[in-house]
This record gives sequence, structure tokens and C-alpha cells, in this order.
Amino acid sequence: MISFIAFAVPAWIFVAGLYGMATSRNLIHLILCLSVAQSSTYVLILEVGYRLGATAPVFGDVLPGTRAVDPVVDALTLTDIVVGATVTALLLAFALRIYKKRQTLDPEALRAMEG
Amino acid sequence: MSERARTAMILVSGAALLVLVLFAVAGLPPYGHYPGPYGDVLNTVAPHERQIPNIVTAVNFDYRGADTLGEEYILFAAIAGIALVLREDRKRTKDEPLPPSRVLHTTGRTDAIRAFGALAIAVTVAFGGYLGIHAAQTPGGGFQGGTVLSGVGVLVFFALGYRAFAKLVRKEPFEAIEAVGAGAYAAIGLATLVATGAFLKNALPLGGEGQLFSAGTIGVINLCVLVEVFAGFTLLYLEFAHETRVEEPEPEQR
Amino acid sequence: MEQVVQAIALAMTAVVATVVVLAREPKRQIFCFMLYGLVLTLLFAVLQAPDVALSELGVGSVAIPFAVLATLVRIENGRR
Repeated sequence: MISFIAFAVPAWIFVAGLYGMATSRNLIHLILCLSVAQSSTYVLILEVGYRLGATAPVFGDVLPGTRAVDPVVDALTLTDIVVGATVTALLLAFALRIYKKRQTLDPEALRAMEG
Repeated sequence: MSERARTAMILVSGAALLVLVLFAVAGLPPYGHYPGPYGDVLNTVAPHERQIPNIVTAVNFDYRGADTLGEEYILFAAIAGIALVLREDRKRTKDEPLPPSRVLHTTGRTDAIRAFGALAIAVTVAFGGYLGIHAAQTPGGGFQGGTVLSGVGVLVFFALGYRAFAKLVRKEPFEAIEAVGAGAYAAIGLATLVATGAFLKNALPLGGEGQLFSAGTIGVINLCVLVEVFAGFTLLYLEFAHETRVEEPEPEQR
Repeated sequence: MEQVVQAIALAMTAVVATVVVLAREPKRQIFCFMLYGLVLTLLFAVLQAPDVALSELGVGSVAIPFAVLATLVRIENGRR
């Protein structure tokens, strides 16, 4: 039961982020919903690597050999977060440029390509 | 397609996707019972093999060092992209004075804000430097420390003003620093390729466990990443800070 | 006991993520996003991943909010 709830949360966050992106009326809102959808993958992958009753994979003050969670998913997620933030900033720069050209941030109004 | 139809469609397909994802994750091993062999192998082998307590740093910079090289170059390319996109409209040359501020209704900075900002900058530099350097011993590393250190730029912008920020952070030295950080990582990889025949092999002498400069190339690569992330994020903030002061073109009718 | 803490952290993450998506105005949404960054940091700390928690803290408090706020300032400037 706890297993189902624990894995349902990232699924819910992902679908909520997708819903926010699809029904967005503002490009900045859309970009932040994309960031939320990305964060659901971090939660899921950390849950896969988790072990009950285990400690962090840093053996500074515990003996090597105590039960620890998976370090590989930690390493993947931590670079992923920083890079995801930079790409979000790049998307914000694009949104700013669109605003300078078209004076609007509404995806509805931006549909037609100007000739 | 009207907006209502689109909302209905996303709700229906979102619900279907949710059901499919839940069905998929039901096949995973139960929560909390991580079965896979690689995590256990690394936790057992790495403290002895690399003399390093922090296994996550070892995975990031040694066992999966090539992945981190790729991630760092994504960061570099994204920041270059931001600079390219946001500099296109700015026709300011280096000799012109800084454009006047158009964000108005500021109440001015009181001395309390400046004093507290200076104190906060000192604490942030100390903490960010600590996080960045002690990658091998405690949770931390180049990515975390670089992000915290780049917060100094944001603090300067908020506490001391845009002019102080723009004078302190010139883009040329920071671009050079960022390029040095990114290039040094690849250079270390190539140097170990030439020296030992394997790209990014840990070839420097490993110190004792718990010492500051231990674990061979991991410490050096960590410093490269720290420098690169710090310079990259500061450039990002500089580009966005310039955006808050952009001069609008003069209106045509006078 | 730890499962209770994790269940609470997961529930808070799901609720705050929904709040971030439902806040339509970017000026409101960015503060919800900062709160979401804090809740995610707590969740990562509870899941025994301190490196990831430090990463998310630095990014979600400093990098993204500053970029979004600078963009919003520029858009407000452009509207006047």
C-alpha cells in the first residue's frame, strides 16, 4: 500500500505538470509547469534507489558496509537538477525574446506565424 | 479547436496517462527494497578503492565521469545560448554609460540593507566555498558549491544595486573563467588518456581517507566544475540583470 | 516511523505541485515555485539524499526565481 502511494506521487506530479502546460495562457507559467514535470522524474528515480532503514551513501562517520541507499541515482539526479535549471533559464530567455518581438506572452495569440 | 475541447481532451488523455503510469510503476520492486547490484557493489568497493567517503562524488566524477563531462557542456552551451539570445537587442558598446534605470518606484537602499547584504555575502562565500571544496568528504561538490557561490552575485544585485553588480561582474573575465573550467575538465581527461590509456582514469596519487586533497583526479575535476558552475551562473544572472535596465527605442512620433 | 515522515513529505509535494500548476499568474506562481523547491529539498533530505537536497536548494531558491523575476520586471517595463 505504501508502495502504491509512494509511486503514485511522481505520476500525479507529472500529469499535473502536463495539464498545466497544455492549458496555459502565459508562456512563463508554461515554463514553470515544465520544470514541475521535470522534478517528478527526480522524485521517482530517488524512490527507486531508496532502501528502508538505510543511511546516506556518505561513509564519513559510519563504517563502510552499513546499509546505504543507491549512490548512482543520487549522482544522476544532482547534475540533472542543475542542468535542468539552466535549460529553464534558456527557455525564459526565449520567452523574453518572443515578448520583445510580438508584445504578447499568450500562446493563443502567438499561433499565426508572421509572414 | 476551441479551448473547452482542448481542456476536455487534456483531462481525458491525462487521466489515461495516469492510469498507464500507475500500472507501469506497479511492476517496480516494492518501495524501500532496492534490489539492484550496482549500488551495493559501489558502496562496498569504492571507499577502499578510491579512498573517498562520499560515494556520490566518486560516482559523479570517477565512475561516471564522462557523463558529468557531458552535463557540464550542456550547461556551457545553455549559458552561451542565453547570452546569444539576450544580447541581440542590445546595441550598447563598452564605452557608453550604463543605461538609466526604468524600474521605478524604488524606495532606495537603506544602510541596513547594505550592511546585512554585506554580512550575507560573507557568509555565502564561506559556505559556498566550503561546500565546493569538501566534495570528497561530506555531501557537497562542485555543482552545489558553485550554485551557492553564484548566489553572491544575486546578493550584490539586490543589496548593493545594479550599478555595483555591473561594475563588479564584467562579462569578459567571467567568460574566460567559465571556459577555463570547462576546458580543464576535458584537458584532464585527455591527459589521463595520454598517460594511462583510459579517458578520465583516476591516475593521481590517492591520499588517505578523510584528508582534504585525497582521491586523485576527483578533487581536481571537482574544482574545475566548481569554477565553471560559479562563472556560468554568474554570467546567467548578469544577462538577466541587464534585461532589467534595457533602453527602449525612442518612439517615432515626437 | 520514518515511513510516516516520508508519507507526509510525499503528500506535501503532491499538494504543492498542484498549487504551482493551478496558480495562473506568473507573479503568484513564482512564490509557489519557491515553496515547491523548499518542499522538494525536504523530500530529498528525508529520502537520504543530501547531495541532491543541497543541489535543489541552491537552484530553486536562487537561480530560477531570479531569472523569472528579472523576466517579469522586463515585461512590466515593456508594458508601460
